[in-house]
Amino acid sequence: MLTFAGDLWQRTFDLVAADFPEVTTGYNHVDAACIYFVQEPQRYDVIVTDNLFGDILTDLGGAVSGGIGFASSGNLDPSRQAPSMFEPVHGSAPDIAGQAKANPIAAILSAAMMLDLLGEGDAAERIRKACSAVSDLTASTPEIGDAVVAGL
Amino acid sequence: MIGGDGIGPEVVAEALKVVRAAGVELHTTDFDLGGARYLRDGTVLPDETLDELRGFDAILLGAVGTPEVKTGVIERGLLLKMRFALDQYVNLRPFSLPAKDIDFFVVRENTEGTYAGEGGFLRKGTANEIATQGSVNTRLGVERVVRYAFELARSRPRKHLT
Repeated sequence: MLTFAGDLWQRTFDLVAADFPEVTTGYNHVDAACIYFVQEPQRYDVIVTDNLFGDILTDLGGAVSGGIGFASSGNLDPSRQAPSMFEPVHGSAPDIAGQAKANPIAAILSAAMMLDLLGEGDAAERIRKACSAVSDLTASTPEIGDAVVAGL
Repeated sequence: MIGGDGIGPEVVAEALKVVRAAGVELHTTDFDLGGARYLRDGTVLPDETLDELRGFDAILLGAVGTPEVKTGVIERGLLLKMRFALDQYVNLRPFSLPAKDIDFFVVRENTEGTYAGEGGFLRKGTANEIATQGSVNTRLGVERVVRYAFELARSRPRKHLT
């Protein structure tokens, strides 16, 4: 529990909530959230949290929902004054570089998030569906890309 | 496009292939940034390149980092510099596993908290050393990320925000 920071977050959250009467809200301490992530992640829809807790929870979220090969991310400026940046969460994996062994799904899903921002939501949704239908993740990098294309 | 290092360019190529196959016409420009570039000419992210990036609608990055460059150089000099300079205050992470009915987003504040780097050492290296580490939370910073999360929740069928 971060007493002062948490207090500012809660008061701000409650103020903003008044502008969104159609959204239901809940609160978890971060230690409880860690248990729910493992035992019942289905309970969550959208979670908002600070930088440090978010760092831990997003790693845990990846671990319970398919692993690093599927983890996409966006670093957004929702005001659109500057470009947002999209990237797979995984690293550069120099040990397998140049061997066509990397799973491109996380990068493809990151590009789908980018399309949402660019106003191409329909294409983004088709890409996400095609990604979830890919069955053979032991195929080569271009073969997995081709499988997604085939599923569009 | 910042393909970056290692498998970065390989996975970004597949992402572009899929986007184009989905019928989206993208105009792309490649930027040579990352560990390999740094090893070649000592450049991480010059201010001119950062200004150039501001003119684009979006940035797609593969992965950066090479074993020959000390951890942190590229992360701080490229990823964090870009994040702060472009004020990318939301880190959005989707989690989806349809087979288990998992479908949620984490909206993580991306510019404040412990990222702000508040803290330091006193009497470093002595038996009486003290280290402090702060978390900076501003009303503006919290409100804008919370507002984004509410808007995202409102757009989804369940409309629930934790």
